[in-house]
Amino acid sequence: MGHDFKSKIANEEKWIDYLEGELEPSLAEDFERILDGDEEAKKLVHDYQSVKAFMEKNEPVFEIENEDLFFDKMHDKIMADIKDTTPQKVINPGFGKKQVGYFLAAIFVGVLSLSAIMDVVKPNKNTNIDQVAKLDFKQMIKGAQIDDLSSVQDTVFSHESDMDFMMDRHEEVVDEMSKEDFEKLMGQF
Amino acid sequence: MKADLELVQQVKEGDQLAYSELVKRHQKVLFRVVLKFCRDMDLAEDVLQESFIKAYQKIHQFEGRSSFKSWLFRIAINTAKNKLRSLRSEQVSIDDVQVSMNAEAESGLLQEAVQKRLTEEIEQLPSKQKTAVLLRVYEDLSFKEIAQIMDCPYDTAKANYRHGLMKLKASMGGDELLSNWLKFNDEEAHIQETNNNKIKYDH
Repeated sequence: MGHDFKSKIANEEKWIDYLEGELEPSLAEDFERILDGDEEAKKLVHDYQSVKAFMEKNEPVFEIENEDLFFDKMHDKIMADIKDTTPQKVINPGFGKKQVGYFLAAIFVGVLSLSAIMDVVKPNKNTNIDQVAKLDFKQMIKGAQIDDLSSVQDTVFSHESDMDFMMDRHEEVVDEMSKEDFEKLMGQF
Repeated sequence: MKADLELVQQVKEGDQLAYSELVKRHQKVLFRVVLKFCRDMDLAEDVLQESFIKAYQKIHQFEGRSSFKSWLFRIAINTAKNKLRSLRSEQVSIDDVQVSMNAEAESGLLQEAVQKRLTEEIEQLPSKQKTAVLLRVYEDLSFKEIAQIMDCPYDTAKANYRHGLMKLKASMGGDELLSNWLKFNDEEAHIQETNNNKIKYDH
């Protein structure tokens, strides 16, 4: 097993996938071979197993007195509430917050791609696509006056390669915006 | 026993008794999940009730692309998040909410400290990471189910879980409290054994 392979997979995300049984069996075998001789990998796996064991053993357990009675009552309350209700017919959901999240993500990615293609972004020792992405998004967020910029930065910028994750973050930001911020942001476009 | 989808179809046709069966079938597991998010019995009751009412009202929007249970989970988790968000905006702290928690009696100060710390760390996670971690670790759901509940792609659900777990490890991994707990509970031996046995893959 070459060093390249080892370094390629020596990232925590892949080890978590290994622990969760999410790897192809052949790849898992490679991981196991590494695990046999690599103390660093052993420690990493051990640490994750510890955290999971810690969570599992400390799972909050809630006691409900007279559980059957509790749930019977709950059921009856729910059924009483819907007694005179009719399910709503399906209506066109329109352009909701979720769609806006994807729309913003698409614009963001589009701007970055265009910038790179037109050589507006000139990577050198001090500038890279990651920094430009941060500035661009920061500007967009600043313009919209969203409060939780730091958490947006923390969660977005280490995952530019994972498009789904990135789009998801956009969606989450939009989802958690106040009505005023949301309207203000829409006003930007 | 009729399948969920069959009952859902009956509900769509106006049969409330079919919905009664669905409520009975899913209320316990849903309540347990909601409690993990709310950590308050009264709040969880409200969330559960509201979720089943919403699900009934929106039953025509359920198209069967995911299981009915996943769809219910999604509604309940979103309802819980909204309730918690409005509680936070009313400046009710998590500690205040915990007062009415009817958790199982904990034994010893260490256990109490550990649970408090763990709760705090999980609370610090971004909402979607927290959802993925709770559903995976405590409900043992597959990433496919988690993706359906979170209404996101499979890889996104996995990414949220991974990043959540990485944050928990970063904040608790080198923690003295965790080390003490491991020693106290003799978990080291168990983890070592798991390490040696490795993860079960069908090669």
